[in-house]
Parts: sequence; C-alpha cells; structure tokens
Amino acid sequence: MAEETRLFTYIDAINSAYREEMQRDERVIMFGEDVISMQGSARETTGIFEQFGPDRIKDTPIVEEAIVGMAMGAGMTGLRPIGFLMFASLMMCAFDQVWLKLGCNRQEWGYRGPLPVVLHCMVIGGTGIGMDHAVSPEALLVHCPGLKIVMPSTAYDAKGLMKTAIRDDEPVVYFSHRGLYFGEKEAIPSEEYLIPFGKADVKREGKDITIVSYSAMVRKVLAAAEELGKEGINAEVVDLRSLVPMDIDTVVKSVKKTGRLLIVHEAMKRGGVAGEIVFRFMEAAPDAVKTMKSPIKRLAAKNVALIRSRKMEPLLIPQIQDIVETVKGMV
Amino acid sequence: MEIPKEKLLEMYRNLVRARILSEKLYEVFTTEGSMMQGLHRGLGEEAIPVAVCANLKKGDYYKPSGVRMHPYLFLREGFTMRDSIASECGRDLEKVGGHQTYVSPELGIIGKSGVLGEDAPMYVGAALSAMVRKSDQITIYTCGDGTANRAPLHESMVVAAAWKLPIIFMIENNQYGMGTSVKKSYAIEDLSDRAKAYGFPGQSVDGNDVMALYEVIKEYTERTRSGGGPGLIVAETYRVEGHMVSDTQLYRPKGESAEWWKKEPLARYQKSLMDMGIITDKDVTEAEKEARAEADKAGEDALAIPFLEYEDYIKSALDVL
Ligand SMILES: Cc1ncc(C[n+]2csc(CCOP(=O)(O)OP(=O)(O)O)c2C)c(N)n1
Ligand SMILES: [Mg+2]
Repeated sequence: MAEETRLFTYIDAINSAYREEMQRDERVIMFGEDVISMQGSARETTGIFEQFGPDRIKDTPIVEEAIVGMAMGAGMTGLRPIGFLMFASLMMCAFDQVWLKLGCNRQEWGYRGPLPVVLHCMVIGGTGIGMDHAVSPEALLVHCPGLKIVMPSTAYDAKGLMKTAIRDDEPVVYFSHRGLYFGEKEAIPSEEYLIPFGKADVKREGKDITIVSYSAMVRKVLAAAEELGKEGINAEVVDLRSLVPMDIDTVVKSVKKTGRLLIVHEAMKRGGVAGEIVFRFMEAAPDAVKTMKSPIKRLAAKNVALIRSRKMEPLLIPQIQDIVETVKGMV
Repeated sequence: MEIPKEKLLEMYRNLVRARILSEKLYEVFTTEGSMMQGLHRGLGEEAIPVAVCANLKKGDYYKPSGVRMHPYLFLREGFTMRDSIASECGRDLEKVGGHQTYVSPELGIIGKSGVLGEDAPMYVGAALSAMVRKSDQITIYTCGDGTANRAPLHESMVVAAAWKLPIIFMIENNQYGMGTSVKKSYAIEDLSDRAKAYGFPGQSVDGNDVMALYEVIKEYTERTRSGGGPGLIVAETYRVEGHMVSDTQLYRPKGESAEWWKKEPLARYQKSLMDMGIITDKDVTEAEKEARAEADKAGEDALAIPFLEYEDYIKSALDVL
C-alpha cells in the first residue's frame, strides 16, 4: 500500500513527531543549544523554526542546567516543553535538575499537577568520540524514582514513542541513538499512531533463546540472530523500547518459551540495566527460573571509560560477533 | 611597553609553526588510516596560545580553549607537534616514552573536558594547590565565548575571587559557539564586563594582534604572579571555519568570515615586524620552510606511533567486577 506509507529515516521520524505534536498542541515548545542555528545535533529540528516561529523554538546559550530547570518551570505553568540536550552526556551537567528536581522533588513537595516535560538527547556509542559524549547513562536514570525512560531502536518506534512522550503528563527522558539516525529508511503509516510506554516489541520470533535489548543494540542483536539462524539457532529478540515503565511480561512469556535469557546493552555492565531486567524477571516468574536450560547472561560494555579513540572504543562495546559467540555458549 | 626583539622573533616563529600545524591537522585528518576522531580547527586563532605561552614559566598550568585549541600545547616545553598530532589520533605516546599531551600535571596540563566548562574548577584547584604549596606557579584557564556562559565558570570565578587565587581566566571570543553567535547568547557587548561583578580586573583585547595580546597577558600574569589574585582577559578573534569539518554554516552571514580573514593574525604580525625592520622576506621564507619540515616530520612520526592497545587500556580499569 505504497500511498499510505512513506519512507522515513529514524531522524525524519523524530522530526515528524515533533512537528505533528507542535501542530496539534500549541503548548508544546522546545529549546536547546543550536536547535535553530544548526538544526539540533544532527538535524533533529530541521524546519521547526520555519514552521512554528520564535516563540515555539529557541536557541539557548550553553546552559544545560537552565535548559532542564526551565523545562520544569514551564511544564508546571501551563506549557509542554521539550528540552533538547544534544548529547546524553551533557545531562550530567544538569544532574540535580534532572534527577532531584524533575525526578524526585516534585513528589516530595507534594506537587500533584502535571509535569509534561520531555528531555531529548542522543547516545552515540561506538564512534570513538570518547566518554564525554558517548556515555549511555540510562541506568543512572532508571534508578531515579520519577522519570520515564524511552530508548527506541527503529524509525517506527521512534516516532510513536516521541508522540507519546510529548503527550505524557510526567517527565520523560527520550534517548535517541546517533548510530540509527541516518540508517535505512522504513515505511511509516501516514495516519497518526502512538506507541504506549511499557510495551516491549518482539522484533524477531524464535524458540531457542530470548535476547532482550533496547536502542541501537537491538540492531546488532538482530544481525547476530540472522547469523545464528543460518546455523540452526533460533533467537527471539525482545526490544524493551521503554525502560521505565518496563514490560517484563513480554520477557517472561518469551523466556517461558525458549528457556534461555541473554541481555545485551551498550552501557557499562556494572550496575547496568541488565541487572534490573533479570531481577524483575525473577520476581515476576520465580518458577520459570528453576526450569531454565542455561544460566542467564548479560553482554554490555566493559567497566572502563569509553576512550576517545576510533580504534579502541568499538572494542569496549559488544559487537555482533560477541553476541553470536555468547549465544553459542548458551545453547 | 617595549617588547624585546628576541620575544618578538620567538612569537613570530611560533605563530608560523602554529599556523602550519593548523594546516597539518587537516592533512592528517584526511589521511586514510590516521584514525583522527574528528576535527575542530583553531585556524586563525593561533595568536592566542602563542602569546600566552610567551608569558608562561615552566610549571605554570595552562589549558587552551575548548574543543579546538589543545594541539597548540606543542608550544609549551615538554611537548612537540608530534605529541599533539598523535593525541588527536588515539596513539599511545607512552609507548615511545612520551607524555600524554592533554594530561601531564608536571608539564602544566591537568586534563580537558569534552563536556565544556566542567574542567574550570579543576584549574581553580591547581591554582589553590600552587598557593598552598607557596609556589609562584600561576594558572591560565581558557575557554570559548560559548563555554564562558556555563555554570562551572561562574562557580570557578566566585571561589577564585574570594580566595584571591593565582588564576587568569581567558575567554577566547571567536564570535560563535557552534552555530550560535555571541550576539544571541550575550546581552553585553564587552564580555570582560563580567569581571567587575566577580571583583577582579578584566580587559578585552584584539586576539588577532600578537603584540597587543602579549602586553595584556604580560601585565595580567605579572600581577597574578605577585599575589594580585585573578583576572579576566577576553581575546576577540573569529572562527573562520565551521564548528567542525562537516559544518554547513548556514547560520553565518555571507562574507563575514572573509572580512575577518583580512584581520587574521599571521599576515598582520608579519607585516608589523617587517615595518619595524625586524624580519625580512628571507626570514619569512626560512621560518615557513623550517616549520613545514617540522610539521611533516611530526606527522610522519605521530602516525608511526602505535595505537593504544586494548589490553593496556583495560588494565586501567578497577578490576572489581
Ligand atoms: C556542556 C557542553 N554543552 C554543549 C557541548 C556541545 N558543544 C561542543 S563545542 C560547542 C561550542 C563551544 O563554543 P565555544 O565555547 O565558543 O568554543 P569554540 O567552539 O568557539 O572554540 C558546543 C555547544 C559540549 N561539548 N559541552
Ligand atoms: Mg566560540
């Protein structure tokens, strides 16, 4: 049905979610560094200034704390702001604002009203750009009591989840992945759709092992699954899509079928989200744990800083071959 | 102030060397297999590190500006052009007995943050350390006009002022932070006005004029070194190229860069020195030839240095998994 779909890259999809939501609701505004002058860090915001004008989108000076804090203040006073933080690492500059103000204090203060804030930033592991830009800090935020966390792996998901994020009345941290921005185009329906948070997506069906992942790592997992398929190993790939809320039921259902569980993420292993996923799985299905065919495993970045080196950084993050070999060791 | 002829010549040679390094960096960036991660050049802004280094003593701490000026650290004792190029390409200088260019406390640099401005408090810490150790070392912390707006800069200036620490903050105002013009990120014309609020002296100076820069930096470093506390120098210059190699620069008014390039520091300084009768055409040719030979050799040597190895790097991790 070629007329009803259009081809989108991941970044086109995010851009169109922005526009549709800004069109739909004039309370949606956005601000961040170079969102007008350079169209975001990699064309996230192309055309938005031209379409919506200077009240709806603003270039800020280099002021990360203010970007997050202003989003919170504007969100409590009638607007629905999107704070654009360029790299996820830059959120570290505003850690109090993100973690304590947005994530905790509003609960503690007894504020019961809406807090419709989206923080959008980019993860960029694997290019050798170094820790100051490439850190994938989602585990730090999963630990925070009051933030929803979204990490899409496809253009389709990126659009539907961004639209949901903008309409959500709670603070949402939305991580896009630079490695996906200009990848292959996907057909996306021309009619409106939203993707709810807390619904994992089975990106590939299989019977031998469940591999749980999210964000760009899903692509590597799928590539590994293809390779394994050639050798007769059928992996089921579960893309969590949102980490808070987390859809553990889909994981349980899958593992009950396959009897094996591997979790793969780009962030460092120690204290990483894999630990949370496994524990949630065990709490949800204590019986399933007893009948598993092999011990649960995780693959994640080494517990060292990602170094600023094009040669080295990819060695610190799991690659397709690592996934293939780990799975072979489990089945 | 009369700048000694020797100083003028030293700065001239260094400016030529710095410019040729700017060119070399692009060449290496486009060399297959160099593995340079990216390139943000400081072309046209080289007078600033040259004039700073001409005023530093061994042991002083100095951090060049932001994302583009660190390679010019080769102007300091202990570093070479090779070290700068190697550092940009992820090579392991220690394997050839060298120093890590961007973190060698004994050579006056204690790191640089890719998250801009987050390194400012560290340099205030170095100044505090010098004061506590009763050393006469001073610290110069440089950042861009964009970075100067960040919160850590404010806190750093507050403590440095309150404790009268031996540190000079320099803002390298190249008129843009990525695509954002200073006209949009500031409501003041003269960025050095901010010094007054912190309670230390501040001054703006033409950052493309080597001699003017040298004089201001000399005055400030002498003051700070003799216990006068912090200062703020704003060097007015211009980022003649895009933020980085792939930048399409749609935000920049047409012709602005060409106008500024007419004021670039090397040609100007060269002309001044010729007018003063200090150098001749022959000296110019000679200096360029020497610098080019130095840069070519540095490029070759740098790319011959092995990459940092996975096993060596991983050893630095806390092995407590
Ligand atoms: C805290 C922080 N915010 C944003 C960025 C992204 N960024 C990299 S360079 C740059 C512009 C910096 O401008 P300026 O300080 O004027 O230095 P210049 O690039 O002009 O030398 C920005 C915004 C960053 N690295 N760190
Ligand atoms: Mg600048």
